[in-house]
Amino acid sequence: MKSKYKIKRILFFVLFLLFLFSSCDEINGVMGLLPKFDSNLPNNISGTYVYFESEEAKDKGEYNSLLCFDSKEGTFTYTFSNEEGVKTERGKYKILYKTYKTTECNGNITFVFEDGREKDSSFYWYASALSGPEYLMLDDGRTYLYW
Amino acid sequence: MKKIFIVILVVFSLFPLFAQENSDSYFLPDPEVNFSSHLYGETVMLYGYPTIGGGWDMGLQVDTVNISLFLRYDHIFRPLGSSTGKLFIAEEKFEEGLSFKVKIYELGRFNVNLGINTSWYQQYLMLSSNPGVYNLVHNGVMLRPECSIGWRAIGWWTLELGFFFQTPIYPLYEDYKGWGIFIKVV
Repeated sequence: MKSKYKIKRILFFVLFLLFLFSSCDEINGVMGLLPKFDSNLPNNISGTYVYFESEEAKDKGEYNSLLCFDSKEGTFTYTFSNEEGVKTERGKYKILYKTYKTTECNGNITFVFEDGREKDSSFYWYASALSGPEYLMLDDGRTYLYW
Repeated sequence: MKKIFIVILVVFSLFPLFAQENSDSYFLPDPEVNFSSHLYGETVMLYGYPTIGGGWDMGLQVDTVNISLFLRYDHIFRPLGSSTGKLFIAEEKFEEGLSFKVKIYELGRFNVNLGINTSWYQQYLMLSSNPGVYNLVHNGVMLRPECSIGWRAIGWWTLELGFFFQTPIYPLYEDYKGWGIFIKVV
């Protein structure tokens, strides 16, 4: 009787060790599935925002300029059209909130272009919990609609 | 002469030490102090919808009074009250605090308890544009008065069912005010 239980205990221990060693490779995969917790406020300004010069242009879907924010990389893309044609500028951006609510916030946004230029602008952002982000207003007086 | 007078005064002042006490105890008997730990589940009405959560507390039962430290968690099914997920896709609430509860009435196996707890709560939200990352948004002091009925089922194992009202008191946050019920099984 005693040796029977002893064998079972040894077998269980060996299986446990095998499982432990084989799961070491899987541990990174498991850790990757777990969510991360960040004590910083969320970066609400993410996604694509467009500016329409008129209501007719808006009805046709013909935007004048496009701002695309990638909150994970902290980069932006600004596409606009002028007399020379369509131009695209890229760079990084930083946000400093003055007031923050989950569906509206304002503060300062700093654009750092690839050519080294920096541009500061105050912003106001508004969203709805049901329909998501709605618009972003910048210093240039334009209201960029979420696209 | 003065010295003799002082000695006599000191000797006479020691007499009460040898006085005979009556049969009643001078000090009250020591209260019963036991370690207590409980596990419970709860649901709270937030944004007009129920949540699911639970908690664990650990403390002391001093006669009819229970003082405990606790950890609490709630999962909010509809972040900010919305199920579209277009802005936030997940919301969780964590709490760490102190609980104070008193047994105010007992009749047979049933007892009634009144309690109040205070805690630090944290609201974590996950943006739809940044999945996999919870950001800390609102946090502050929560106050929660509660009332419960306990039933001593077998031995000292007591099942408890109660209701509470929670409110963030500093800073004020209306969205986390709500009524809830809890059940303590262990």
